[in-house]
Amino acid sequence: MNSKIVGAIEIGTSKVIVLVGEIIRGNSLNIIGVSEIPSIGVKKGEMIDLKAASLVTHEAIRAAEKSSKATLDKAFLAQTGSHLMGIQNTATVKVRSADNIISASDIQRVQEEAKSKELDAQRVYVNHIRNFFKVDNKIVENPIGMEGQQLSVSYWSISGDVNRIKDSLRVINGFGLEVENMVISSVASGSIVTSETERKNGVLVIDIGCGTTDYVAYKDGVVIKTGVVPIGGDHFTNDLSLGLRVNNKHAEKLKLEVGKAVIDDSDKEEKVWLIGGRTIGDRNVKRLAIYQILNARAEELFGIIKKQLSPIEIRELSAGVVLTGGSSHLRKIDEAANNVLNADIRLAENPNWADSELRDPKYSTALGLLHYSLKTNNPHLPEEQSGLFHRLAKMLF
Amino acid sequence: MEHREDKKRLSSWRDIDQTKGHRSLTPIARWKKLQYYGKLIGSAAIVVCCVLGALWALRIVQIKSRSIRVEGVTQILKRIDFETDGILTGQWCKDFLKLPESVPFMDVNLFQVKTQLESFGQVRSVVVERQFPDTLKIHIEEYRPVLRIAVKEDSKPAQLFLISKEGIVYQGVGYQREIIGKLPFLTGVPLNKVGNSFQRLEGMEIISRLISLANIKKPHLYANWKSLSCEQFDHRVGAEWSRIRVSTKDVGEVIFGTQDFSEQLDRLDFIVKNLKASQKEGRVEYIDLSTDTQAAVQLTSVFTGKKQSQVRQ
Repeated sequence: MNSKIVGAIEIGTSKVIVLVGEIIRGNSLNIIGVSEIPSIGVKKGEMIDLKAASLVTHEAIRAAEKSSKATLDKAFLAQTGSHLMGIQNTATVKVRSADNIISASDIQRVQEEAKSKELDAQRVYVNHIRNFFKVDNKIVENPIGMEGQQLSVSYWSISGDVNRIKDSLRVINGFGLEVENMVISSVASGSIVTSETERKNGVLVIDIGCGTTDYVAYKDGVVIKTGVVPIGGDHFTNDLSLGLRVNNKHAEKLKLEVGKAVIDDSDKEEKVWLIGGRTIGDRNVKRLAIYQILNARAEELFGIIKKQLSPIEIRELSAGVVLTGGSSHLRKIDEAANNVLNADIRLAENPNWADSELRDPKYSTALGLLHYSLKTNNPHLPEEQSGLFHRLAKMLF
Repeated sequence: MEHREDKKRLSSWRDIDQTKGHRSLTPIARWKKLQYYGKLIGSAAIVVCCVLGALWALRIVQIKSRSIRVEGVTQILKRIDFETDGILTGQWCKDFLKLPESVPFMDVNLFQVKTQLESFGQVRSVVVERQFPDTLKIHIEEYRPVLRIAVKEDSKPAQLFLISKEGIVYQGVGYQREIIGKLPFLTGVPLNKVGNSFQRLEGMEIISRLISLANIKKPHLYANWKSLSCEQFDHRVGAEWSRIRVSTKDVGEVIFGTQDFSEQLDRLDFIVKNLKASQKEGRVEYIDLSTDTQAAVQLTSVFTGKKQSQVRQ
């Protein structure tokens, strides 16, 4: 049986998740290994201590390899951080043939042209996500063989700081793995929590992580915008910690147990103990105080996203907004999003083909990476060889 | 290095070289690297062992196949390579040996072949060897005849045998009739039969010396020799009475002593010339050369038939 082992690595602010998948015959994916380890050395999605981040990442990779009984050579890596920026790159070329029939070489030229837009020094492209082709300003899916004078293509190109990217690569390469592909977190999670219909109708996926919130907007089945907001679940916790003068641990507990992202009039007057367990020095506050703090941060977060998206773009989101990521567990966060974005909001669910333990939205990005790897491998023949020599080499290495 | 890489203006993260600068920052990575190199060295060792093993196996197979090859080609004797210093032929050899058709090469008993060939009187010695893959090489040395002898056994008709200078009596094969016809007969010797052959004649080297000298020095005299008689011949050393009597076509009987044949032949030549000059050669009954430097010539009278003796110096 021809199969290929693929790895998906997400180095997040709160956790490192590694999934190991087996792509069978290029069209079927089995998840055979999972590991999740609390992250250190990462803040707001960026590495601030390379050695510490390497330590946990390597531990997570080893654990995933152990659970899958497979060895990874290459992996897909999720990339996040506020250094990531997306721009629309459009290129137009004249069709070269005398009869104005568009050939593969015309497409190659226009694609290369669009991808070769120069960046500032110290920045590199992370992803080029193709949007659509235009032949004489008319949108087409596949221009080959069509007649026209001008061929255009648009890419949503995401670039990042070269040093941040190198840090990420260094962590993975330091384990002896090669990064096969780098995908930004929002695109990875967006591909897994939305349907093709939703993406065609227009949908915004907001992945609220611990240190950052990544978002991706789809329209007509293509990515039209991505972004990273340096606000995540940790900021909600910090706000509570500062506002209520409790430590982060208790603030996190309050956020998860009684926190709501909107002011709920039904129980806002109820009081809750900040620490609980009849601890000496504990005090109680009204729930309203907690709701106000969380709601303020939630409105700020969604407000920033709304600001980054144009009103037209928001109007075009017919399929609404999907909230995912570990911090999307905050109660009533969908209502808060609705209040700001004024769109249909739903909480993401990972697809049914994932194991029940992987249905949690916090795995969306890693699952999306595996899904992406399946799509990448699908058009090609399986690379995995099953020959004697390959099996022997595999056994040895 | 990074500086140089940046100077190149990287445009995509894929332009970043992932093979460079992999410092293992964590113990896990270092352990993995160690394992990797361990396995690399291990597999290199396995490969080397496999190669050496294959070479060793190849060598064994080659050795084995070489021996198999020998076994295979020795199944049949294809050729007999025959050499001789005489007149025997390869065909005679085949006929004589009568080796069966398609005889396995390794089944040919070399000793038996040698013994069989050496049992033939004309053959003096035989060397037999196998030349792989399928050839039997036979080299023969033959006796050379110096005399001939007619032997009559019981009621059988007389048979002609040849005598070598070593005294071997044998039935010659392959000789030309003219050559055999020129050989003088030997008479006056007792022949003892041992099995199918005759016992070797003693003292024949002395007689053959006389014949060889006569043939070389005085061929005109030797050409008239009909037979040699050994009735008075004694091969033992110091036998002064020993005589060799030669019957000739022109000068009757010539009696040789067993010392200094060369001098005796010279004297004979001188006497025969004188006799021929005086036209008396037809009247000679015998010439006795055995008396040191003198020779006794016995003539027969033409008219009375009475013998006349002359002594020449």
